[in-house]
Amino acid sequence: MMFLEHKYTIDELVNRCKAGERKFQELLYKQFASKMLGVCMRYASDKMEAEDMLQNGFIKVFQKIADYRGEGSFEGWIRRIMVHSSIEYYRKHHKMMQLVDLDEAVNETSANPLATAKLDASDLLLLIHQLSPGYRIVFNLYAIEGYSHKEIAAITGITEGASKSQLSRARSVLREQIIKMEGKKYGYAG
Amino acid sequence: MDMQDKDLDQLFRSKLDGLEAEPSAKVWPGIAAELEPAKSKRSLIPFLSVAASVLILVAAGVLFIPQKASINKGGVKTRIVKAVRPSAIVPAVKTTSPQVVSTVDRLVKVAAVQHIASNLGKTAGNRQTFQHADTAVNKVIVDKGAGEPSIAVVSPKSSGTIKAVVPDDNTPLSVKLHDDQPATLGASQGIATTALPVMKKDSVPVNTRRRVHNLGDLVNLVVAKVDKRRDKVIEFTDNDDGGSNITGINLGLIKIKKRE
Repeated sequence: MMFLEHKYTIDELVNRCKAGERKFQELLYKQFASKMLGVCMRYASDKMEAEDMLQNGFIKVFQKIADYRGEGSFEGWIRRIMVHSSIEYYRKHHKMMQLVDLDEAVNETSANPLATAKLDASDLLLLIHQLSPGYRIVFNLYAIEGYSHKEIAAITGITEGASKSQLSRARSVLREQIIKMEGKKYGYAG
Repeated sequence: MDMQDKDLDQLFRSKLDGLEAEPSAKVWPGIAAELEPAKSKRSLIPFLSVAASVLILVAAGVLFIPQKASINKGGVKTRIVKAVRPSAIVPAVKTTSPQVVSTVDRLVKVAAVQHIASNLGKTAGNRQTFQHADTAVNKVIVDKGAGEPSIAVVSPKSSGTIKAVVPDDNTPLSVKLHDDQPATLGASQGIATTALPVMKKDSVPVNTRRRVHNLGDLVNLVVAKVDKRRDKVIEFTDNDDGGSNITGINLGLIKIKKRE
């Protein structure tokens, strides 16, 4: 277990962070940084952007840690903050949902049977990075985080209908790109 | 066979949900730097409050303890009446409201006239000093023998001098401006003090029973003990954060009061 390597339990770390102790804030950061950067990487278009999201997210974590009442897992709580921080980042830095490129896809691909098992995480991450921010956010929230369209509408401020259509477009772009990638990788055309 | 939406989602979820990546070394310093100013900002406010309180209390001490009569200086529309009775603490009335000022003026005039009149009737040795910046006693007519009411002609004056015409060398009346002597009235001459409700000691709304929650309350309590005026030398009011803000300063010449 990872926790055994540390002198402090998560509860202890959280309590000391509530008291604003810098040393424990750093320990907590080290405990969760790589997992949470993994979350941010799915929302970002590259690692630099993901690290900005991570930094903003952790600042929020330490500012709000007093509100954490121990309901649900701490990891789940910190992860939700990272997701919100990532979306917030796009609100600030891009005109988020308007960034959807209309030329991008829409033509439904009738995909071939795929040897998807051969695609590894970095391949799929690359595909996600190539999506426009609007598609990427909705696809992440729905397919990976497991939010409903209603929840996505509440988080992002777009309508439920827009969320559904963005998800559908995102899926078709991903399908198309998977086929291309498979073709490049294994030498047959989609 | 088309790839179903569910399968696609499942593919991405299974591969990316547990994704981990090592952040570069610059991220933590960035977080720590952002957390720093918020913390020091918080701790600086109470410190500044203490510093300001000490400064103002020292300033107030310098201004009030010597009981200098010449607080009225050029250009400032603060009028001061001082009257010391043997048993009473020095009351000081300050007001910037013109209406109240005129009342004070009138009372002072009456007090001055009666004061002079009664002095004329009294025996010697009772040294009295009266000072009011806006009133000049120009003329005092006294009918010595019969005990008739004495008349004093009083006119408002913009300068701070008072001329007193003493009708008789035998009458030990002195009406003058002193910088270093406290203004005094005889025990029977309480008009200026008693006629003004503000000056009554027991009517001053000093709330000493308030609970002390923070430093501001403590300063309020101490100031209330020392300063019996309605507008204290410094006043704090609790704010929403559990701290306190300065809502009133009264240095005599400088008076700032925040409306609630």
